Amino acid sequence: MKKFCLIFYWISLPLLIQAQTIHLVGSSDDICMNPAFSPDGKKLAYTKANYKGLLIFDLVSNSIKQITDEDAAGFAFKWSSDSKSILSRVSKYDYLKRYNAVKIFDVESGNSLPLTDYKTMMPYLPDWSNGDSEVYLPTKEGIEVYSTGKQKNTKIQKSELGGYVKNDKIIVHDFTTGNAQINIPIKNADIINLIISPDKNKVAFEIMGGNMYSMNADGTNLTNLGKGNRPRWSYDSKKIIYMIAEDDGHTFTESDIYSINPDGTEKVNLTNTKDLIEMNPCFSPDGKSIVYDVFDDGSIYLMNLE
Amino acid sequence: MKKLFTATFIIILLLSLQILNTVSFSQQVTGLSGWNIYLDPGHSRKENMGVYNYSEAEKNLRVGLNLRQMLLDWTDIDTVYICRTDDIAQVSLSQRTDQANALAAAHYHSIHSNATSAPTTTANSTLLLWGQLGIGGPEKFPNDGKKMSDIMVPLLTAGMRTNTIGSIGDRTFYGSPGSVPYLHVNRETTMASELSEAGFHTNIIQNQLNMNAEWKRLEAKTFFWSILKYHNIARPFVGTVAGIIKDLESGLAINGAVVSLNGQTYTTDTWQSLFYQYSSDPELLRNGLYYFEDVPPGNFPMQVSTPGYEPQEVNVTIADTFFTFRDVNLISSVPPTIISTVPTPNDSLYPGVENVTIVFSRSMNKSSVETNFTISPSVNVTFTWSPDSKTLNVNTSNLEFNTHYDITILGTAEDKYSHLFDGDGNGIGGDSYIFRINTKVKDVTEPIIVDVYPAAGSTNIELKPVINISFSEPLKTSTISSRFRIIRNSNQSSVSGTLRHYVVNGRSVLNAFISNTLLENEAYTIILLAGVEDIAGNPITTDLTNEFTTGSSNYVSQTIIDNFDGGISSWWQPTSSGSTFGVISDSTKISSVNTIINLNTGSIKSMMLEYAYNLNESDWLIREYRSVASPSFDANAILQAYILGDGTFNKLRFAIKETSLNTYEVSPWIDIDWIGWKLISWDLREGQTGTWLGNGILEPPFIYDSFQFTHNPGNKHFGTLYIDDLRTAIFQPTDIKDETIIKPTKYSLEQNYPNPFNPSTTIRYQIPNESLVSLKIFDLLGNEVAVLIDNEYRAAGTYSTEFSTDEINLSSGVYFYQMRAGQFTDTKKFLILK
Repeated sequence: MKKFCLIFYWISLPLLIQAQTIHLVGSSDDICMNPAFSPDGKKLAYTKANYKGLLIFDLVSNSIKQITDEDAAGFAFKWSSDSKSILSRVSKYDYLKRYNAVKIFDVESGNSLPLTDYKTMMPYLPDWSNGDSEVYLPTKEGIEVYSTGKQKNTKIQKSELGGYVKNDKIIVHDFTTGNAQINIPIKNADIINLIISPDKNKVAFEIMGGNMYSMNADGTNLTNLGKGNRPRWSYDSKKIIYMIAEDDGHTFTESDIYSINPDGTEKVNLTNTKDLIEMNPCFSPDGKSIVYDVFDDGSIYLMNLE
Repeated sequence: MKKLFTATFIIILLLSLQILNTVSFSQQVTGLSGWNIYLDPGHSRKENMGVYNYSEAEKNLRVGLNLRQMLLDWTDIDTVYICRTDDIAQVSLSQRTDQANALAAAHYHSIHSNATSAPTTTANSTLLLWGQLGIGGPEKFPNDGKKMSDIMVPLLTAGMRTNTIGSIGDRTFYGSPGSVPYLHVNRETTMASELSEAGFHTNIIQNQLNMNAEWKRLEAKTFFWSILKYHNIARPFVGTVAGIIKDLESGLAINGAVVSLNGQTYTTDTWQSLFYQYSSDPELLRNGLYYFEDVPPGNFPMQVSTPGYEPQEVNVTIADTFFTFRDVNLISSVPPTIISTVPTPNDSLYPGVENVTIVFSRSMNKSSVETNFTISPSVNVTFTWSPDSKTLNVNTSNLEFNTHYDITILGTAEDKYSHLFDGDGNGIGGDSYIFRINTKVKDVTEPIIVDVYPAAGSTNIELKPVINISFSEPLKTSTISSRFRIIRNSNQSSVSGTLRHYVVNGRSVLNAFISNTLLENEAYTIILLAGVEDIAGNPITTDLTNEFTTGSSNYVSQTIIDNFDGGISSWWQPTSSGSTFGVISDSTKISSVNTIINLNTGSIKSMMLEYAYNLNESDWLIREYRSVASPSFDANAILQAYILGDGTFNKLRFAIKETSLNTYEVSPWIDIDWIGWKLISWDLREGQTGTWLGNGILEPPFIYDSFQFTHNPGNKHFGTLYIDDLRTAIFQPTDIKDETIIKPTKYSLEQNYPNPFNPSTTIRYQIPNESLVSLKIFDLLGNEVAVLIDNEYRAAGTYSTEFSTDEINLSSGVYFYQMRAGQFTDTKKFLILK
């Protein structure tokens, strides 16, 4: 922790000069996007256009390593709680058909552990469960669970719970009991970008063609958070960070990054720029900084919130 | 079960094509199992409004829903996703691609149509855009959006029956540098992707077709077939027949035509069934589209009928692998009648000078009409016809002065299609039309000069006035030019210029356009010598000598709002504006003309407004709307336009939009009491306003909204006006010299600004010496698409040329502009974004 603080200070030094933001990686010739802090705060995982590949920016050594160039690897990937692995669903094409597979990538070696064969029709995303010892993958028929070979991390709160969406339903599955709670926040409204808070008490999501919402995991206290896209929770489950993007039907025209409490209070525009299109934000584990990418600029930036 | 059906179908097809007329041809297609697609009907709600109030977003949605139905009902496809299913959801770009990515769809198809910045009758092409890694670069990952685009573009183009821009990488098309795809749907998708543009929703023909439900099915079918071809799956028997029912003579699509084919019946859209949603004018909208599916192979008679037309039966041979397009032109069964005559019944003409003109409603059998023409008292006449055989001119050289003549077109006259002439206009042919004309008393009086500008003795006249002399009657053109001149009094030198003679509302007007500005504070005399004759040969017997004195100021153009040289695409037809009322729609329209223009500014085109007010109404307004939201100007401007008046004493005014308040102000009404060209001004500095939508207070910034016109009761209710060189100007002394002008030392062509742009941009260039300059625009293929300066001499200096896509319809994309000046050549690139 002490080491992290020191390193973070080093990173933060230029922030005083550059309006509390620092360019980490990327350019218009090397588009980088969708960054996410590792739980230990020492690394960033990010991807390239079309979510192709996964790369690791090591904040300690200031080095970059690509761990895979597989298609779709950078979409909705998830760090393991020990910051050593990343879970993702990758894809490849064969005679026009898309084949998808769930893999766990070792961040250090880049080796991958395939959990499934490559299959057509995989319309759900995988996630960690049971303290990272398992991965679950919803299917049309039910839910599949795979062993990851990892020791169960007992410090993860309610790690037996996992969530996913089916059209207008949010399904919170208990892998210990096998019970599932099905909530329908808004009937006939398709849900996307569902995320469960780290404490597993709340969810945030978008309604297709509508606003962003938060809700207790038990289905109570649905809160309309207004227009918003791609929410992510802070590690203490107290804040949601997201973007409000505008487009002209062809490309993005503007976007800013906001944070908000799950009850809809304390909405803050963190970027508030007219000429930059800031997107895809993610809190650092200590909540003191964020990373995000800037559209067209192609870069990933770190902003100190203090 | 599906396989059994397919096999059965093939056997039946092979054995007995004749008995298939009741079999559905929407048979099951296999080969898509294990594949899925995400459909993205572009935009949301009623975004990207097209011409006549039908939006691109509405069209896209319905095409997408049709395509989904075809894929689900007719194939073994695993899943078809679609990002929206109604006109209510406001789906963002990120939501579309996030959902598609989460679902791991195999392919992403985004459905759109293209647009120009103003309604168009010409631009209407298809386009497919695939994700590209930089201009001229390879396709994005995953591949195969290009493959789909290459397959889709010819099918879509043939289905839309138009031309195409092609299947192009999105970076190359937009010309915007970058290393990843330009379009979001190509850039953030984890699957093969492309975006289709099916024609232009700003094209007035295309968007009336877009309103039709089955037309969207037609577009969807081209996508359906593209998907099959993409997978190397044979296209099943098509059995789809479509076409347009039109009026043979007018070329207009026919509403409510009933088309019958092999037991199916289709009625083309009508105002009551469809168009009422988009226009209150029952006659405005039409598409004439009919559409049949599930037609079996073979030849079939197709019957087309509708009241007012001769029914037709045509043979249709059903194509097996594509749409069977069969347009049908119907011949009106309404008998020909007379629309108008000149002179009108009981009116008079001057024999030998003015002809009798008879305008028929339809093209006539010329010899039939001439055979059935009588005039009493009998006199020999000769005939001439317009090319469309609708207008007959009767030469009156042999008619006596001061005499009544009765002209008869007998009911046995026929039109081109053998319909008997309907003289009384009751819809039944076979009756005669008789009208009386009178010949005038022989004119023995000389023409009278009614008005002159500048008036005799006037002072402080601008330095480049349009000289205007109007007369009481028409003049004989051949007697004019040798007798007209303008003299500088101090040395009796002649002023050079161009003299034009117009006959407006039965009166002559002379407009003299001076080549160069006159000298300041100098006396000049307009001279028209005696001898100018009226059409009866009566000469003016006294010379006109009007002396006037110039001032020291001149109107200096600040900003050209529209000089109309590029046409009138920025302007709506009068009846397209909902603010227009009390007019006869068919007779109220604008067009671009190059014959009657304001030579004072070197114009090459002007806008002609033909109008007719409906006297059954008590209020009238024509709002001639300009759809371009630039340039902006403030309250220090003088708004000006050159207008060729018709002397009807109807009224006109300027209208502007206050952009920050989103409201409108108008000038006071101006009586159109002149004929010929005149510079009309609204000096915004004086703050005088009329009454319309605003509060009467001028609150800048402004953009130009419209010319507005209204009827002045008791005066003629129809006429024709010409409008040219709409601008803002200042009236300033000319002796203020810009001493800071620095003569350029070298040739240069600057990058246009803004860039990218929509709709207008400015191109600056410098030339160090007088040079012959050309400035032209080329497309990516090197085709010349616009000429901004065509080999014109320019003195040394710095120049700016504005280019607007409102004047020349160009699609979005990269273009080059090239300047040549003397031996200097330079080319630069710009990007049009719509």
